[in-house]
Amino acid sequence: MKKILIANRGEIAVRVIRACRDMGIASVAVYSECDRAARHVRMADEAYPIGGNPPGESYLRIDKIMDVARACGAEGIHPGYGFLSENEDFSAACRDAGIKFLGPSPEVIERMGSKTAAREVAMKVGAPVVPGTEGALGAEVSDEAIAKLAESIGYPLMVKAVAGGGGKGMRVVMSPAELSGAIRAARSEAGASFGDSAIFLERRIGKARHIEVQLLGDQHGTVLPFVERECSLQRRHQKVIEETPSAKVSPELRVRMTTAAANIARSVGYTGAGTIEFLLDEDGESFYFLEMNTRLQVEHPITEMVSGVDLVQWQIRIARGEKLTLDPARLLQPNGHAIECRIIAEDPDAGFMPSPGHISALRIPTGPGIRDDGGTESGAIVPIYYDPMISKLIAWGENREQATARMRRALSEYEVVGIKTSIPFHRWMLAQPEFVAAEFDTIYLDRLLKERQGAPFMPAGDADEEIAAIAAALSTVVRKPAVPGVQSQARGSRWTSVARAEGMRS
Amino acid sequence: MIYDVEINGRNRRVAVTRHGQAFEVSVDGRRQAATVSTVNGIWSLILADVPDAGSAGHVRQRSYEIAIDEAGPSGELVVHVNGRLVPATVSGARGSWARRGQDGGAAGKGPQKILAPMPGKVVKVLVKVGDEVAAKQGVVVVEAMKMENELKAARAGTVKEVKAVEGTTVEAGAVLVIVE
Repeated sequence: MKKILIANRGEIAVRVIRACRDMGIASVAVYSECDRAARHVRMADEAYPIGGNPPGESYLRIDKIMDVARACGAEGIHPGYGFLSENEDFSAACRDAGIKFLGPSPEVIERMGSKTAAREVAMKVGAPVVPGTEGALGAEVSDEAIAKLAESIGYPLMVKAVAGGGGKGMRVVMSPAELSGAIRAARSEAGASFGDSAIFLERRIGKARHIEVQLLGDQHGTVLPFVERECSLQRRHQKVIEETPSAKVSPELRVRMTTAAANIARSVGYTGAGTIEFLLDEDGESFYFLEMNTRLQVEHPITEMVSGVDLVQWQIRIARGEKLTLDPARLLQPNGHAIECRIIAEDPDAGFMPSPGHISALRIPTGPGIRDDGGTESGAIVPIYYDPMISKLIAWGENREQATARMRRALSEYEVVGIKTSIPFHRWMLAQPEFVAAEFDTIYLDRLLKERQGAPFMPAGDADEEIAAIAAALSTVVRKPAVPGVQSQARGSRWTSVARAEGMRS
Repeated sequence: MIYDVEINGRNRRVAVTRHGQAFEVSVDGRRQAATVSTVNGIWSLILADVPDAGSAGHVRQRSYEIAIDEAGPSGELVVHVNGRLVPATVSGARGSWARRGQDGGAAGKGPQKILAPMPGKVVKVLVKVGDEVAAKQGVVVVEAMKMENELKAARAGTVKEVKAVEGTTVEAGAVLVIVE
């Protein structure tokens, strides 16, 4: 494989281009109008426009991406995550065009993308699933019949859309009185979002942790699992901080979870990188299969940090037909500890409102144990059309304490000017006693944020305010370099950003 | 020159005098020597107390990293100090950065302008000219980065003008609806 097209943008496109370059493979970028000068475009060896800014006009256009791939002679396509990464039609289009899709076959994507079909796969190999209804309950199944099934499962329970995702088409039902309302809501939401109103019922696991297992599968039947990732810190079902290993998974539990994950993937002939998600009950022993993600995940770098394995390079090697030659025992022995913070262009002090716009200054932290997987840079504009994540900050340490300390240090070095980011939230999060003690579940963060009622995450003290007052006053009079030979941009921080904005409008 | 800097509801009077490459700053009477140097939009600020006449010995120079950002449509600055974001409004000698109007305020009088807090796409306009709106009633939905945000009227009134058009993109600070 000599040339790979990356059907994505932002940090993950940059990440894949880096792997290509490490392996001496040419990289091809595609871009929407507003991404003309984006980092991934400049890094790639070739770059082609694929349409307008809304994803539906560019990054989701299978036809346009395939046209570019055929014309430029790409031998492989990496879908990244999001966009077309779990789209079986895209995988099929690649196969039809004789281009390697860096992910599983369309059949596997389709099967594992259906929540009920994936549950059946898990049950068949004896992996524990959350007790619930077998198969999908289509629109023809009456509420009375569903109420009977609900009785046998027990309350509280979840009504979930078969084709659901991202928290859509999902309802918690505490008592029988709430059931029919929840069925109606889940059906209509799923019908509108996914064109499929089929639902199923699952027992609600109250205080659960979200634990997931990364794995790689080659084309020769070998599936190898990695040490688990702990992803319980979520805001509205979106992961905000991940770490590996989990502080609550013993070596014995690790064996059971990774074995179950590998069995599920092996039984469907899984190829490439994938992740099996589990819920870990508050007893710390029982776990249940939740779903499978048939792609590279956002949080894959923390696994790379504790395993020393480059997962993207292995995706490419697997697509080439190579055999997995990694030592299975070593993959289950974490080397140290890694934490990831997702740096999001949102204002945490304004209810996490999106904060796209012009980055006037950016200083990315580095130093011992720190890795930043970013897709933007100083002077760039964070567009309104796409996911607001601008980078992933990853800290590695010999143990959790050192990794946490390094993450705190790196967050304090991170300077993003011009847009608001989640950094103040992350600094606050890492200072919480529950984080330090690793005592949290999937609903912990939402509950805590509600209790805080929007209090600022990193309030300024009196001393900080005094320095800020001095700096604000000085910013009006600093006109020339205070030190000869150093170019001053002090007044530029305001004036040039206004000038730039106006220049762009005209 | 004298500046009034308002931070979190408290006003500080800052006097600034230039001495060649350096400055003397005085905040509510405390005098300090200051030097500023900048690299790529990020400042190095070094402050030292001005010693009393005749005193000798070491003067501690405190080093800070500062970045200054314009917060948005209302014209305040956001000063980054020690990783904390401090909103500040400067008025005084030049007066150039004084807060530009208080149109969106909840307690204010006169027409209130509902502004786009960020660049985005107008997904839905929930009111039309002549509608009565209650305080905190949603008037426009703006989408940015896969999230919809409902913008609300700060106080009750009558819709005087609707500038937002469904399906169009707007810049931060654009006037969407005027309520009287």
